[in-house]
Formats: sequence, C-alpha cells, structure tokens
Amino acid sequence: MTAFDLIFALVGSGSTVTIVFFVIFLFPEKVDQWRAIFFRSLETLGIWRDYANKQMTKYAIQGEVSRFSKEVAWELSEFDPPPVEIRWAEQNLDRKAFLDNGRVIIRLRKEDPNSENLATACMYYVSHTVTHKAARYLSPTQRDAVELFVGYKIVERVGKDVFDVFVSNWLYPGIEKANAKVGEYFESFLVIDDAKLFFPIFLQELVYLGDKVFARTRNDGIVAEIDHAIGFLEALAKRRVGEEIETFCNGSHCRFAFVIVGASRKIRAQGIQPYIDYINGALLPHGVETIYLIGPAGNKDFMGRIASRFSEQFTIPRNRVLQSQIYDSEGNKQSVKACLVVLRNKDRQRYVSSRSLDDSGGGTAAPN
Amino acid sequence: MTIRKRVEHILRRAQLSREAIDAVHDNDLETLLLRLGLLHDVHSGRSKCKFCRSVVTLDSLQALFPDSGSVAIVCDKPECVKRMMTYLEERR
Repeated sequence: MTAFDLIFALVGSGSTVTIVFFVIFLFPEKVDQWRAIFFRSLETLGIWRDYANKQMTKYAIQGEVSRFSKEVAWELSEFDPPPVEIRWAEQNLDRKAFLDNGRVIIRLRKEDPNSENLATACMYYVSHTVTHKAARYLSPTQRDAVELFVGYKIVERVGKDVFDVFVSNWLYPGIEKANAKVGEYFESFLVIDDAKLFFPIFLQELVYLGDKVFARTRNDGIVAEIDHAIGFLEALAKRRVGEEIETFCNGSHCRFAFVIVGASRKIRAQGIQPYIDYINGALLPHGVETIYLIGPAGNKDFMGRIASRFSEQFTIPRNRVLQSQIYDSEGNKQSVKACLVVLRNKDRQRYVSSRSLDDSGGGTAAPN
Repeated sequence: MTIRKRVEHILRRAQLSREAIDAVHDNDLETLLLRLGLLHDVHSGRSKCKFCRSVVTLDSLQALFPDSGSVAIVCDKPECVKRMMTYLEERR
C-alpha cells in the first residue's frame, strides 16, 4: 500500500481526528495561517494581547514564507526551499551562549502596521536559504537582483500593505539607488517570469551550480555565464510559437537545454525519433547536464516516452503540468497548460578548486 | 495522476525540517538586551550600528549577531540590514 492509498483509506474511514492530524502534518503553512488569524482575533478582542501579538507575528511570517516555498518546490523537481520557523530567542540566553551560537537574532515588532516584519523576514529567508549556495558565485549585483526578485515574488502574493513596504524599503533602494545593473537584471527577471516556467528554472540552475562548484573564490567566468543564461532565458520567454532560437545554453558550468516538443504535425509523422536524434546528436556530445523537455500538456505521454529513452544516463526526477504563458506567431500572449519534464545527467561534473574553475573548459570532474 | 503527484509532493515537503530564523519580539527585547549586557548602552545612546555607525536606540534596533567575540548591533535601515546579510554570507 502506498502512502497515497493509506491516506485515502484513513480519510475514507471518516475519522475526524485522522483528518485533523493529516491537515496539520501535510499542510503546515495553512495551519500557520489559521493560527495567525486566530491570534489576531484574540489580540483584537483584547484577550492575552501581548501573547497573542507575539504568536500572530510568528505564524503570519511562517505561513506566508512557507506557502511560497511550497509553491516553488511544486514547480521544480530538485529545488526544494524549506519551510520556515520563527524561533524565539530563549528567555535564559546569556551573552556567552549567544556568542557561541553564532546566529543572527532579528527583531520583530509589536506595532507593525505596515508589515515590515514580514518584509524583513522574507529578505532574510531568501538570503540565507533560497540563494545562499549560489550567492558565493554570483556577482554582488546578480545576487542583489535575485534576492530582490524572489522577495518580490513572495510579498506580491501577500497583500498591498506589505508589498508597498517591500517596494519602498527594499526594491526601490535596491534597483534605483544602487548599481544600475541590479535594475537591468530585475527587468530581465520580470520578462523571464512572465512566461511562468523560466524563472523557477533559473533558480534551479543556480542551485545546481551551487551544488557542484566548491571553489571559494568568485569567478568572472561563472558571472559571465550567468549573464548569458539570463539572456538565454529571456529570449526563450519572449519566443513566439514556431520561432527558431537557440535552445542550448552551452556554457562551461551552466549546460542546460530546452527541447520544445510542440509541433503536432512532426509528432504525428515522425514520432519520437527526431527528438531522440536531436538529443543524441546535438546535446549529449556537448556534455549537456540538464534537459528540459517542454511542450503542451497534451504531449505529456509523448514527452514521457522521449525521456524514458534516456533513463540510463539521466535521472528524471518528476514531470509537471503547469500554467505557462506563450506568445503565438502573431505575438499575442496566451495562457496555456504546459508539461515540463526534467532530465538530469547522472554524470554531471563538479568543480572542486579555484583552479578547476579557471580551467573551465572541462573542470575537475568528481564522481557524483 | 496529478492528485497522486500532489500528495507525494506534500508528503515529501512534510518531511522537510524547517529553516529556523531566530527572532526576538518587542515583548522580550529589553530582557534579551539585559542578558547580553547591552541594555544600558542602548538606553544611554552608546550603541552604534555596525554598518552605518549611527546611534541605535531601542526603537531603531533591528538585529543582533555575534561578531569577533562581541555583539554587533544593526539598525533598522533596510540598507544596513542588507549589508548585514551580505556580510554574514561572505563570512560563511
């Protein structure tokens, strides 16, 4: 019996306790949001006001940030930002324990009419969880832009108040007052994200990069490659149906490709063979590390057959049907359901020293 | 199939441990500062932001972190909080 069967068997038994247990276990972000509402109500009613305010602050942040991380993790196969927990500093924490512990304590305010608590906690979470591995290799402007954009994506779903605070406290100073390049990156991310699929893919590629590059020094080659990847994804996001553009980002460290499985005429006439030949002939000889098969949701089974041909060389973590935006041949934007299948090369390279980064034609491959 | 995948995803997420953000609520701020030996300095205007060197008051304090054997204080200017994140990231 799979976990899936087990759940439905238990739910089918009508046990309220079981259902409550599973809701708490499976939807912690929803439970946090309900708790926040509950404690906000207590505070409004003047019941245990201080305690209720403190709990409401904690659960509101946990609920919103964890909801975002869950949604992003659903869209991607191997990018799994964890949910967040606000952990109150211990009452008996003394100076020595604080210094030994080595962790930051951020202050969350009791009077927070503009939701600054959430904006600050979001940025802290993004910096320390979502982008921290890749941050070592991004340029400062790239890192700022990625963090601002991810923060923007979290707060835009929450509400106007916190969004306004985020814009005035973080986004505006970040893109207007700081290095102009941050603003340029941010504009590119808006275009990439407009297609829905490609910004999460960019984040996933950054995580892959952080997982495989172990050198301690920042490398201009990687910075340039990330610039190239951003331009590459931006062009893909703006692509019109039928338009021929580059679909292989063939860098030394970022080597990923899209195979668009869209032309139904080609599918009907020739089956999977042209796609197999393309991957074998144009991608594998160049050491592609990740292949994203992308096409209309109706082609899902067909794409699965293509992917299964490469199961010895690639892991196929998951496939997804997701909402996406495309431009038709006339340039009109359309919302469609797209299928995304990710193939991850089992023999991908890892770079273990600064020197191997500099020799980036091949790098030093370590066993996986 | 999609429902099965959604359930599998939820199960996998449920097993992830949460990333902790250490925090102090206004209710407990003075107690914490007292225990860290900072309350008097903050009240008397002798605490300065590690990044902008402005005086940090009880109202403008935003974060604390251990730094070379002492406690660094950060004010609530977003640019100082951002600099703290960059500083900590580079220190990791």
